Amino acid sequence: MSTALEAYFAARIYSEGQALRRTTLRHVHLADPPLAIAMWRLGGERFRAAAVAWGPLDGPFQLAVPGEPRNRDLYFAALEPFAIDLCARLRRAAVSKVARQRGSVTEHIPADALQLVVPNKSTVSALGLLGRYLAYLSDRGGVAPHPALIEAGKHLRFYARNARVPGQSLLIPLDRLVADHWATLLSPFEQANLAALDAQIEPPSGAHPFEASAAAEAAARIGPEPTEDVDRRTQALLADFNAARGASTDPAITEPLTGPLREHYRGLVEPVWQLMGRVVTRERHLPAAPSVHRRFESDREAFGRHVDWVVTQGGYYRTTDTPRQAAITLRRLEDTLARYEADQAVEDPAMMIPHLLDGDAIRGTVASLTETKVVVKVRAVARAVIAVDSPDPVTLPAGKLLWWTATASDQPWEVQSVQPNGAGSRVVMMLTAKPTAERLPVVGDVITLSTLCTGQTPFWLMPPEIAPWTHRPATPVPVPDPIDAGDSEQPAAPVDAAAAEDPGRYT
Amino acid sequence: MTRHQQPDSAAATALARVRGQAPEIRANVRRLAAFANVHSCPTAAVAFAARIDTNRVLAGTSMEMPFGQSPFAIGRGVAFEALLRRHGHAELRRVLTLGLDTDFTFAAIENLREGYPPNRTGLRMRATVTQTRMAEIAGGPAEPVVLDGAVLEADIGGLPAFFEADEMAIGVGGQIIVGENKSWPVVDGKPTDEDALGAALDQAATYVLLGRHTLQRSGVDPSCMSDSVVLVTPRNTGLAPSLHRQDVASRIRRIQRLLSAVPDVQETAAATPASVTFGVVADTARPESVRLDAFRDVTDVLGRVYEPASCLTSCGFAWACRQRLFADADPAVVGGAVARALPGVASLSRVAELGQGAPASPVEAPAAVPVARAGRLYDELAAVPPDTQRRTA
Amino acid sequence: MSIAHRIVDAIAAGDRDEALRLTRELDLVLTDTPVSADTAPSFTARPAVVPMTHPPAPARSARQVVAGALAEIGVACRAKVVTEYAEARFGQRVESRTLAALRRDERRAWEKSSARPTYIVPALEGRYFQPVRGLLTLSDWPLERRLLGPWSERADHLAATAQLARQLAWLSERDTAVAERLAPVVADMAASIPGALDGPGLDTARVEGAAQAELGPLTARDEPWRRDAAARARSQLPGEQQLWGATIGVVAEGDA
Repeated sequence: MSTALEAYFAARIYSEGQALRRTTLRHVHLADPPLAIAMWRLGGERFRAAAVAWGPLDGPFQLAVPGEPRNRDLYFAALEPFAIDLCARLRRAAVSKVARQRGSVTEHIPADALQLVVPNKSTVSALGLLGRYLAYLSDRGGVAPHPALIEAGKHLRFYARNARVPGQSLLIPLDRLVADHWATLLSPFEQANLAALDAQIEPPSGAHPFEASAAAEAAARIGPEPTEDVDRRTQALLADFNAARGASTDPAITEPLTGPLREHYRGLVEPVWQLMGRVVTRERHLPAAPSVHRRFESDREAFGRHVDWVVTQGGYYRTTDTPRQAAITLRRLEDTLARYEADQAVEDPAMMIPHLLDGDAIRGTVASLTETKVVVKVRAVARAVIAVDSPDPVTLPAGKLLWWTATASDQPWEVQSVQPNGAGSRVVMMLTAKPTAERLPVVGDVITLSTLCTGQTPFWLMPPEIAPWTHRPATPVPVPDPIDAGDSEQPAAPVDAAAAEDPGRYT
Repeated sequence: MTRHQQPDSAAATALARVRGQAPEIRANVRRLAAFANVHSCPTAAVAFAARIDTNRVLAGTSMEMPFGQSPFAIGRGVAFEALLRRHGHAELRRVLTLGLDTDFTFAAIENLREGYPPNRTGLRMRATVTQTRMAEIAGGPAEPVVLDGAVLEADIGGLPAFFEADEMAIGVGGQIIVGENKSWPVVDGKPTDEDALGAALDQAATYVLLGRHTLQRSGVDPSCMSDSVVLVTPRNTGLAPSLHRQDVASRIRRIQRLLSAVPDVQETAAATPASVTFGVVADTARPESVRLDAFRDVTDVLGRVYEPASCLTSCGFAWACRQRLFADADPAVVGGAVARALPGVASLSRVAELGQGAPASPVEAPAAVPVARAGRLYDELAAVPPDTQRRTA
Repeated sequence: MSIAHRIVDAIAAGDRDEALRLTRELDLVLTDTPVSADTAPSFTARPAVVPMTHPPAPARSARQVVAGALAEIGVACRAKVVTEYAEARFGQRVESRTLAALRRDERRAWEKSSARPTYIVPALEGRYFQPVRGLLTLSDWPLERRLLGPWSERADHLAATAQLARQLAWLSERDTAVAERLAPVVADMAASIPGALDGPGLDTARVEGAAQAELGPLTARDEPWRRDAAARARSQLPGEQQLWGATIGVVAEGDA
C-alpha cells in the first residue's frame, strides 16, 4: 500500500463524490455464471446453517432450510439437495479435460473448474467449518449419512483451504474482489461489508458515497452470522416450528411447517443475491489480465487433483498439517503471493503506481540506446545500455536489478548510475543478457522498469521428509474424536438479551 | 504499599455531570480490555470513567450502531456455563483435572457473586474479599481452588475503579491461573473464531494485569499469577468442554502499556464546562439534529481520536465520530495511516486540490509532492473515464 | 509478444481500436465467447483540467477556516491577511472578535490536552521567544517556521505573496468566482514589492517573479538565523514554551 496513493484516492473520492477503480484490468477469473452460495447460521452455532442458498448467479437461488438445524435428521434432510447438487456440478465441471505440455510430459487437467462465489470472507470460513463437519460425519444409530453430504463436505473443505492461495479464483469472497479492484472511503475493516462497498461505488443518485455506504451498513443483513434482530425473528419462528412438529422428524410432517422460516430467510437472501449479481456483472466488464489465464489453469490443476483424490479415490485430507506440510504450504503461499503481485503490477499500469510511488519502479522516456562491450569471465560480449529520463527523482543504488515490464519474465537491467536531470533523474542501465531485438526498447518510448519479475522462481530445497526434532510435537497428534459427537445433545434454549443479566459475556 | 484512595469526589461529581442522564453501565474487565483499544481517545476515556454505555447513548438516531447478540448465541453461552456448573461443577472439575494435571475433585469452588448487595458497597466488599482470597491462594493451600466472580480494583486514567470479572482464578500449587469460559468451539486444536479468541485472550490478560496489582497490594509476589491462561470451550459440535492453555505475556505487556497511557480523566472531567454533558445526546425526547449537534459539541470539547478498526469494534460512538470526520473533511476518516501521511495539510478537500497539482505552501510541500505525483500517475496510467467505471448494464 | 502484452501496450498508447480488436482475440482464445461491442473497454486521453467540484461539507467552524487558510499560506502571517484569504477562498468571514476568542480557546484547549493534531499558535520572536501578538502559525510547523528574526517578517510576507499568486493562477483556471475574490488580496500584498504590479492588470507570474527575486537574498540571511534560533529554543525551552512562547518571569516587588 502506498499511503500517498491512498491519500489521493480518499481526497478525490471525497471531493468528487465517486469511487475510483484501482485497476484497468480484472485480475481474477470470473466464470459466467459462477455458482453463488449465501448462508445464514444459527447464532453462535458454528456448524449449523439455518439456511443455505445456492445456484448459478444469473438465475434464481435454491434455498435449503432445515427448520431446526440442531436436529441431525432435519439438518441432513435439508442439506442433501444442496450437497447432491454441489457434487453433481463439480463432477460435471471436471469431466472434460485438456492436454498440457510441460517439457516432455503431457498432463491432462480439467478444461474448466467449478467456481464458487460468496458475499464475504466470513462465509468462506463458515463453509470450511461446514465442510469439516460434513466430511467426517459418523454413523448415528446405525444410519449412515447420505454419501453426497460427506463428499460435499470434502469439497467445501478443499475450496475453503484453497481460498488462501493468492490469486486463486475457485472460491471468491466478493468483498475481497471488490476491495481489490476499487478505491473507496472505507477502511479495510469496513470493506468486509459488501453492501457498503457496492453503495460507495454506485450510490443512489445525488447521494455521496460516504452517506450511501453508512446507510447500507445500517440496513444490510448479509450473514453468515445473524444479527440480533434477524435471530429474534428466527427464534420466534423456530419455537413455533418445534412446537408444531412435536418430536417428529418425518419430512412429510416437518416440510410443510418450514414455510414461515423459509420466507424469513428468502427475504434475507434475496437482497444479498441481487447484490452479488450486481457486483460480479460490474467486475466482469473489465478485460481480464493476461496472467488470469495462467492462474486459472493452476486452479484447474488443483481442482483436478482434488476431484481425482476425493471422487475417484474416495480419499480424505488430514485435519491438521504435519510440520513439513505446513512449511511447504507457507513457502508456496509466499511465492505465489510474490508472483501474483508481480503479475498484477507488470500487466496493469494502474497497479504499478504504488511501486512507482514507493521507489521500487521507475517510469520515463528512453533517451538513448547504445551497445557496448563488456568482459564476462574471459570473453568480451555485447551489452546494451539505455538511459531513461524520469520526470520524478529516482533513488536507486547502482547495481540494482530492474525488469522492463515488457520483458518481466526475462533478464533484468542493472542500474549503472543515477544522475539528477532537471526535476527528475536520468538512469543509465545495462541489460544483463544478450541484447536481442525483443529485449530492447525503442528510443523515445515511455517505459516502466521495476524490481518485480514474473519469471520462474528459483528452485528451492524441499524440507526434509522427517521433520527435525525441533519441529516435531512433543506428543503425537491425537486422533480426532468424531466431529459430530455433540449432535445428539439437546439444543440449548435461546435466551434473549433482554432476559440475560449480562449478555456481553457470551461473545 | 498505599491503599487505593477513595475516588476524588470532585472528579466523581464532574464525571456524573458529564454523563448527565445518559445510560449507565457497570464496569468490568471485559469492557476494560475493549477500552484499551481506544484508550487514546479522551471522549472514550471520559465515557469509560463515567461508566457511560456508549452503545445506548445514540439510541433512536441514525448514528445508532447495531450491537447485541443472537438469542441462540446467548442461549448457547448460558447453557455452556450451566453445563460447567451442574451438579457441583462436575464438568468444570473434570476438564480442569484433565487439562491442568491436578485433581480438582475436592477443589473448593467459590462464587463471589452470591450474597453481596448489587451496588457499589457490594462491589467494594467483593473487592476486599477477592484481594484476601487471592493472597491466601497464592500462599499455596493444599487443595486447588477456583475463585469465580472476582472484583478487581484498578487505576485507569488516574481514577480508581472496581471491575467485575467473568473469568475464574484457578489456584494450583501456589500459582494462580486465569481461566475463561467461551462457548465457541475449538476444532482440531484451533479456535473457530480468530477475532473472538483475540478478544477473549485480551480479557484474560487484563485480568492477569489487574490481579497482579491486587497481589502486590497484599505484599504478594505478582508473578504468582501465571502468564499463561486457560480457555475452556466446547470441542467440535455440542457443548462438551475441553481446555486449552495459551500464553498471553505479550498481550499483558501491550495492555499495560495502553492502559498506562490513558489521558488523565480527572483533569479532563474537572475542566469541562457545566454545559458539556452527554445527557442531551442521549435524550430520546429531542430531535436527532439537536442530539447529534450536542454530540459534536461535547466531543469537540473533550477531544476525539478515531481509528476505524479499533473504534468500530469497541465504541458505540464510532459512527457518529466517523460522520463528524467526514463533515470536517478530516483525512482520519479513512484511517490513521493516511492521516499521518499528510502532516501540514488541513483537509481532504485541500488534499484533492494538491492531488490535482495545486501549488503547495512550504509546510504542505512534503506531503503534497507524493500526493501530486500519485495524481499525475493515476491520470496517466489508469485512464478509464469515471462515467463508464460504474456501468452495470 | 503475446496477445496480452500487446493489449497492454495498446492501452498505454491510447490506441482504442487496436486494444478492442486484441481483447476480442484474447477472449476467444480464453473462453470461446466473443466480446460484444458494448462490453468493450473505453479509454480517454489524459483528462483536461477538471473543474473543481465542491465537496459536500457544510460550513466549517471559524477554527477550521483559520487553520485551513494558514496551512495553505504556509508561513507566519498577520491575522488580517489570514482572514482576508480565508474569506476569499472559503467564502466565510471571520470577525476579529471571533479570532480573539479563538486564540484564547486554543490555549485553553491545549492546556486540557485534548488530542488535536494541530493548534493555532502565535509566532515567536527569535531572541527571547516571546509570543508575537499579531502573527499566527500552526503548532505542527517546525520551529524554524514559527520563529522570527530580523529578516523573517519580510521574507514571510514575500513567500506568502508568491504562494498566493501561485494559488491564484491555479484557481483562475478552475474556480473563477474564488479567483475573482482572491485577486484583490494578492494585489494588496504585492503593493509593497517593487516590480510586482508593473503593467496593466494583475499578472500572477510577474508578482511571483518579483517576490522571489527579492526573497532570494533575504532567505540567504534569514534561514541560517532561523536555524540557529530554533536550535537554541529546543535546547532552552520546555515543549509547552516551544509552542506558546516563553514567559519572562515577573519580577516581584522588592527584588533586586
